[in-house]
Amino acid sequence: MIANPKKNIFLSFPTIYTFVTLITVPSYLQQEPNIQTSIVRRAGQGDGDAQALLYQQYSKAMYNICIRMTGTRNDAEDLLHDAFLKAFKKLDQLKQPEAFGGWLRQIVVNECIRHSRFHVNWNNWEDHHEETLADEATEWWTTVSLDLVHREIKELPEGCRQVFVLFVLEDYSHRQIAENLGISEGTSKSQYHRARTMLKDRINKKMAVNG
Amino acid sequence: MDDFKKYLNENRDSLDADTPRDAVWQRIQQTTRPVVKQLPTNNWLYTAMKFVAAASVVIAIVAGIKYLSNTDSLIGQQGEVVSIKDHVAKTDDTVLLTREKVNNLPQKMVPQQKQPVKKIVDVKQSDYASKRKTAPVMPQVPVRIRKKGPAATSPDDMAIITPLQQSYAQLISLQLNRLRTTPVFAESPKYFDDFKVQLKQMDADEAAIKKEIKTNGLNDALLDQLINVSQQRLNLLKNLQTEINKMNNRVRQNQLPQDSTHSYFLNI
Repeated sequence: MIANPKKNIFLSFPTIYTFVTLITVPSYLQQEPNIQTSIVRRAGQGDGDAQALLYQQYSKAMYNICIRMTGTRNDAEDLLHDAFLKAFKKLDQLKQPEAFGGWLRQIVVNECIRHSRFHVNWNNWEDHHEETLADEATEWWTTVSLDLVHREIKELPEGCRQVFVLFVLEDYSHRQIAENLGISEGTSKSQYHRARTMLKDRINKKMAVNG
Repeated sequence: MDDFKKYLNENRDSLDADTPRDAVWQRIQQTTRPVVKQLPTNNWLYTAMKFVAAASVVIAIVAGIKYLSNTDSLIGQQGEVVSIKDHVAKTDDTVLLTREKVNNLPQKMVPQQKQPVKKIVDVKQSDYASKRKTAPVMPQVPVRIRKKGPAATSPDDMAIITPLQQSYAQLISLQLNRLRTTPVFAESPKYFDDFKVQLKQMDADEAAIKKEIKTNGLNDALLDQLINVSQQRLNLLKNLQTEINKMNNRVRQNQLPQDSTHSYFLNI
């Protein structure tokens, strides 16, 4: 008598493989098809290796935000340290692990804003009328190295540097900048234009000297 | 969005030229290290482990409650566990004096003559039929007794006996102090000589029982004897106190002069 092959379907190789996989493969790999999501979950559970991976992946970008906002290496490293600690501590509150990058970036920017509010004397600023940028007809920045731009942003004066970074690189509106830094919207706009003008002048001067 | 802003955002990665020092990560690592914990390998395994742990705790609690409740159970001939409290309470009704010892007591001090008198060695646990509510409360020490003990005394035996002796010794000491500080207004000190002899005899009995326990080990009969002797001493001291109180009250009621020069304290 020939056995019906359909009756043995539960003993077929794929079924056994799936069963063995479910038993032997760690849960975080079973549940997370995305390895990044898995790493974030593990980091949230206190896994040092996963935290190291996340730091390795995001520390450079976050550090550059910090150093552009603070202008000094020591302050930037302190802020980076605090931001990562806060992130690891609150990682279990992150409901979407795939959004870790944006979430971490928000923590870093918030830390920078908090630092700026305490270390910049915003009261000395006065509102200025919005200046026109119509004279920037030519795209002067296209011929300048980005490394030089980065260095000159760090050299901008306190206040206008933070406004410039938040507006240009962190995509904050002037209203949001005003709310976060405790200044008026007009001050934010004028400081932004001041930063733009100074940046252009300084870079052009460097270009003229160094070629 | 103006063109400059757009240009910088498009080349964001090239703009990030700085790199943090390694010390930053080392500091972070040092801070986060204490909270590192092991990951469970599988969900079902982790759940099973949690279940086993919870079940173990419940079993331990139930076993503990059962053990504590068992300490009140009476020991049988087969060497079960019994508490001293129950044991003493059961022996209380049987005042274990020999006939000779009872006869030596002053007549006024022996109200327990009507109670059954048995030889110490004849006492069996089946005789302990009733409990007295006034039985002294002794610490509940679980006692494991050998049915047919070997000759040698184990350290466990002495460990069992020691708290029992200490408890009785404290009670006896309290009662003795009470007697020593009670002035006696009637009779003469010689009136209590027989009592003193009796008390000394009981001390000797107790010493003999202890010696036998050391020699032969602890068994039912010896433990009973030890408890009974201690109980006898307590009863005698208590009766003596009652007798002295009665005598003194009689003197006061008859309004006899309480001559302080004739009053005295017992030297026991």
